[in-house]
Amino acid sequence: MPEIVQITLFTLGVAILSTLLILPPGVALGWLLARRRWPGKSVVETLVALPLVIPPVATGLILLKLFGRRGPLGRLCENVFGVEIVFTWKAVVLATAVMALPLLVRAARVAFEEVPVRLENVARTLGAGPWRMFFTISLPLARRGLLAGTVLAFARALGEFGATVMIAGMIPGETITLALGIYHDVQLGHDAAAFALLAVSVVLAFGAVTLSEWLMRRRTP
Amino acid sequence: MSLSLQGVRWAAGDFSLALDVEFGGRVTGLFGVSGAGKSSLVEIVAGLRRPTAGRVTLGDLALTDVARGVQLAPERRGIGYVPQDGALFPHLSVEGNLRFAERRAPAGGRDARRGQVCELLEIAALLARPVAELSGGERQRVALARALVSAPRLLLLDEPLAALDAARKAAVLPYLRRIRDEFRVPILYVSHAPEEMIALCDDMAVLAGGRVLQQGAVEEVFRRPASPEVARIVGVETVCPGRVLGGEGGLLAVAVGSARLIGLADQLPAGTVEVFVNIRAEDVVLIRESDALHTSARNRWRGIVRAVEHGPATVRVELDCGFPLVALLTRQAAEELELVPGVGVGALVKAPHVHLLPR
Repeated sequence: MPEIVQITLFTLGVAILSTLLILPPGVALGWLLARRRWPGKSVVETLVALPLVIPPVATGLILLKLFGRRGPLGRLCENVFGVEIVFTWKAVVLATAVMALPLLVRAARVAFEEVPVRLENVARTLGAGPWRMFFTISLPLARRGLLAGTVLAFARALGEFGATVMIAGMIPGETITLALGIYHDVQLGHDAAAFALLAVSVVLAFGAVTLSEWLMRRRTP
Repeated sequence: MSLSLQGVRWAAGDFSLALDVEFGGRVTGLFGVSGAGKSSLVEIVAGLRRPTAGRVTLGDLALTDVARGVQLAPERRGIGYVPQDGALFPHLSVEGNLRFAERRAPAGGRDARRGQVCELLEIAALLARPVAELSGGERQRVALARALVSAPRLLLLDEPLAALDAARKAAVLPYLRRIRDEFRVPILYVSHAPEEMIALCDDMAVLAGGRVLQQGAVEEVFRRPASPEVARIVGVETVCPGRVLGGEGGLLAVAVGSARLIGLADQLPAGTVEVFVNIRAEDVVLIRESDALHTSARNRWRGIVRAVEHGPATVRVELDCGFPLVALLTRQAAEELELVPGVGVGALVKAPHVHLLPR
C-alpha cells in the first residue's frame, strides 16, 4: 500500500475512533453541565476545558507523564490490561480524543441549554422517566448542536499535532497521521510528499464540512 | 379529587410560599395576579419543585412528605400538566405528541381513549401535522389532548388560555368545558382572568404573596371578598346562574332568580340557554325607590338592602332584587341614600354591563 493511502486511512480511522470514544461521555457530560448541579462541577469543567487553553504540546506532556511506563495510568494499563500505550497507535487515539473532547462537551452543553426545561418537565409529568426523557426529548431537540460539536471534534481529531507528537512520536507506519506526516516530510525535505498530504487534508476537510451541512439540512423539518 | 397541601413551604429570594389548602371540587380555580405563586404551587403539585417542608397528598396517595423523605417522581404522579404555551414537543407530529403521553395509560384502552379525546377536542384532522404548523388555539387543544390521553388522576391547567387573543380564548373555552363535563378527571385551573373562573370553576382559591387568602364557591368569592386585599385582586362582582328567555334587536332577556335581565346578545354563541350572569359591582347605580325610573338603563329593579359594608373609600351594598346583587358606591353616595339593611332601593344597570358567559 502506498504510504499516502496508509497515512490517510490511519488518520481517518483514528479520528473516527476517537470521536466515537468521546461521544457518549462528552454528550453525557454536556448534559450534566447544562442541567444539574453537583459537587466538583467547576473542577470537572476546568479539567475538560484545559486542553483548549494550554498549548497542545503541554497537554501531550501531561499525557506522557500519566500514561508513560512509569506514569500511574500507564502502569495501570500495563498491569491490568497488559496494554502499552505510549508510542503506539493507541497513543494517537488517546491524544486526539483528549484534544477533541472539550469542543464536543462545550457544544453539547450549549445545545442542551437551548432545550427548554419546560419541555423536559412536561415529558416527566407525562410519564417519562429521566432516561426516556433524555433519549426522546433532550437528545433529539439538541441534535443540531450535538452534530455541529461532533463535526468540530472530528475535525480537531483529524488535524491534531502537538499532543500526538509528544505521546506517540513519529513512527512511520505506526503513529504518523496527516498532520505529523506533513511536518515529517518537510523536515526531511520531501516537499512533494508534504504537498500530497496537504491536498488529502483539504479534500477530507471539504468532505467533512459537506457531510455535516447535508446532515443538518436533512434533519431539519 | 382531594388534593391537599399541608404546611407546604418553599422560598426563593424575597418570595416565599406557605400553603395550607385543600382542593376538593370538580374544577377548582386558583386565582391570583402574576407573582402570586400560582405556578410555584402547580410545580410543587406536579413534582417539578421540591418544597422545603410540608405534605402534599392526592386522595390517599402521598406525593410529597418532606418529614418522611417522600418525593414521588413527576412521572409516577399521574398528573397531567398543561403549561401556558402548551409545551408541545416540536420534533414530533401531533400524533407523536399524543403517543408519547399515552404510554402511561393501560395498554388495552389506549386506542379508544385517543379516539374519544380526539373527537372531543376535534383534533383528528390535525394528527399528521407537525406541531410548528398549528395555530395557537390548535396548540392548546393538542396540549390538552396530550394530557388527557395519559389517563391522569388530576389535570393541572396553568393559564392555558393566557397566551391566546380574545377570539381564540372564546374558541378554546368550550373545549375546556367539555373536558370538565365528559371526563371524570378533577381539574386545578390556574388563571388571573375572572371570566375564566366564572365560566369553568366550581370553587376557587385566591392566592397572593404565596398565601391563600380566601377559598370558596366562585360566586361567593366574587360577591363577598373576605378582605379589602381580596376585593382588590378579584374585583367585586355579582355572579349568578341564569337562563336565556329570548332575544330581540341584539338584546337578550335572561331569567335570574325571580328577576329578568337584559344583556347584549353578541357575547354568546347562538342558541346558548344556560348562562352565568356577571355584573361588576361598580357598574350598578342605586337610586331612591321613590324616584321615577325614567332612565336609559335597560335594567331597573326594586331591591331590598341586605347588608352594608364600609370600606376606606367605598361601601359594598348587598341587595336582594329577586337575585343577589352587589353594588359598590362611594361613602358619600351611600350616606345620601341612607342605606341600611331593610331599606328599599332601585338598582340600575346598563345592558352592556351585563356580562353573559355560557354555563
